[in-house]
Amino acid sequence: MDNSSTRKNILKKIREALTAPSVRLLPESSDGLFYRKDDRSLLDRFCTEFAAIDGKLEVCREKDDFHKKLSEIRNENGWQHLYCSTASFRTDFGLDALPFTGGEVPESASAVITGCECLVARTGTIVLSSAQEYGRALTVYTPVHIVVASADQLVEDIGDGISKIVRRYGRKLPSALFFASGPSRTGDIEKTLVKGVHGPVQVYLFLFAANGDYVTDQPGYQSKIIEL
Amino acid sequence: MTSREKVFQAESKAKAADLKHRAIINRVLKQSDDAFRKGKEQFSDLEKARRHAANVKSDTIARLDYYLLEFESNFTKAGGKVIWAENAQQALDAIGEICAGKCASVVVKSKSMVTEEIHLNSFLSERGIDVVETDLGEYIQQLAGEPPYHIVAPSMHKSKEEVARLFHEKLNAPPGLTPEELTLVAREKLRQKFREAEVGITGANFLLADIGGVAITENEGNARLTTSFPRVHIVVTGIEKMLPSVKDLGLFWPLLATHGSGQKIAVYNSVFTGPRKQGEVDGPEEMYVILLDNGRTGILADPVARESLHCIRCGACLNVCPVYKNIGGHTYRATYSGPIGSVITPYLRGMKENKHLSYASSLCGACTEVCPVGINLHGLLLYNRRSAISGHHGSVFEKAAWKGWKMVSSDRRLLDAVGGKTKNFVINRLFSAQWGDHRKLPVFAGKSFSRQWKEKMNQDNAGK
Ligand code: SF4
Repeated sequence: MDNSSTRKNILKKIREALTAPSVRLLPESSDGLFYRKDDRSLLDRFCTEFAAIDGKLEVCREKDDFHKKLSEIRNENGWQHLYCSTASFRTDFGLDALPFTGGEVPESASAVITGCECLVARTGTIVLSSAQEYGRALTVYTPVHIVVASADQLVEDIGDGISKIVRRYGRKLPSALFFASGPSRTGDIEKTLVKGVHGPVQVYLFLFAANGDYVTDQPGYQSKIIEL
Repeated sequence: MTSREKVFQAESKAKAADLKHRAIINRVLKQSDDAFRKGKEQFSDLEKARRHAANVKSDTIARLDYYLLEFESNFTKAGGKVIWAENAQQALDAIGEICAGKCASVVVKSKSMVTEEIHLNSFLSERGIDVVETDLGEYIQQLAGEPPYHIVAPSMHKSKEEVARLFHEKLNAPPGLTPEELTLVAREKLRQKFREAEVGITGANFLLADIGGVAITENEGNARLTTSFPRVHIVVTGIEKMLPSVKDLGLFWPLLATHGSGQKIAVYNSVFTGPRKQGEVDGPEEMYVILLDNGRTGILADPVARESLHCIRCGACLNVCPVYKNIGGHTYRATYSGPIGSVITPYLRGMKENKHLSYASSLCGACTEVCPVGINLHGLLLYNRRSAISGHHGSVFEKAAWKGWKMVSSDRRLLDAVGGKTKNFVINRLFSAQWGDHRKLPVFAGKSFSRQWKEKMNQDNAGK
């Protein structure tokens, strides 16, 4: 498909059009501070926001906490096939979960446990990337997404999350970044809110906060830089 | 009056009198309005945020060639391929060629107004390809065989009973399902399609020059699935969707969410920088971005209308427009409806046939007030009216009438040459058709003010 003449034509039209300067010049701004201030801690704010968008949060202090809460929830919901994409979660936590190492996303999976890149306090957002073991489809196709993270993965705002990713990967960004805020939803039928239209119906976050074994050495957080 | 205008007038009249339509639109838009009010609270100073966004967009548009090339270079380095298209046909041909190359029989799509603009679905269907809309609202519209009613909420005008009936008729779903159950039916049907499809097609909310990225905003997860399973991902986008940097998303994502759906941030905001990389577990093997002009450089060439290219398609101006509320989205018979549609459609599809849309406004300015990127929408509608007239698209009769009005009204002697009755008669004959049935023409007094004043002065003087 040779596209060079079309490309040339469009660029030429743009350049010709732009010889006429814009009429309406707007005043210059800005200090870049647009959002309401909130003096609470990152953790407190994340908890509030995450709950507001129907995320389910369990704050854990220890490994045992996590084990106990997870098995409770698992029994309650009757999840048959629990998958986990992070090998170190399975070994370190002794998780009773099936591995996911790529290939077809399992149709039978009832829930999947993954790590994440970071967490955004202002919006309750979980940041995921295709460079991690879970890839693109697993975390959106599986009906329940369970994220394990630590409090030191919290950042202030979306912009900080973006900066963190750019710092980590440099020019070799993952092919896809996902800023996921709560369970999938739609309002397309008379604005009635329905959760779980294509993506997960439920999103859980197990957040290790202070005193935990995994606060600074969170397995899911180990970066995996993709070489081109 | 062109035939398009006549149809527009007739359909507007009918819709405005359709009480069922009015009831549902008012209910839905009231909810949008409440959500918007709440979403806005996240901003400490929304005006400042809007001003900044407008600045970023006008700077980007002023150097569009530069940013397009930067985007192209970065996206290509990451293994993606950029295709330029001057018009709809070139874009369609490119998509057709890619699909043929992959022997695609199923194509999944996530919501995209640009693909509506180029009529992609009928093009692919004619080639025997099963093209499936996966956004719930678009899926409903596709089942109903209707174009989207609203640029953000495509099936906003349908009651839940109508959707239930549609699913019953077209999908064999049990009758009388609730919105929750209907959603579940769509979920199950479409999950299969995501896995089957060879090609996934999406639009773009933003193009990011510095990383060669495509940003897509959604709430359902269908765009994420569309870009995960199929082997090929095609993005179809207008050239104006550019932002200089991935860092601009820190403002543009919340702005879009608040103005589009009243959320702080949409559920899924994704950035795609190319096909699957080495070491990644899944994702498409090929990714294409089709950069579409299709009339946009024509808008760019007009230094005043240019700012309409700032639009981020949030739909807020539709939601607040009294005309849109009354006549509904389909009456415009254009891909883009509401105030922004009325502004850009004459440029995209011909000034002469679409100039009547510039009058589909009460000039109340609600659209301008709400626009997150500061587009002077009602000002541009006025501007288009002027351009249409000076571009000789007005009717000869109308022009002659106004010329006569100007001559007489700017000359006191001529104006006072006849009495009120004659004036009323003449004005009625000249302007009543354009004035319309629904408002009264102003009535001239028997004697003009100037006459009365003079007479009164004379009387007073005589009495002294
Ligand atoms: S013109 Fe402004 S308000 Fe209307 S859709 Fe575009 S960005 Fe939104």
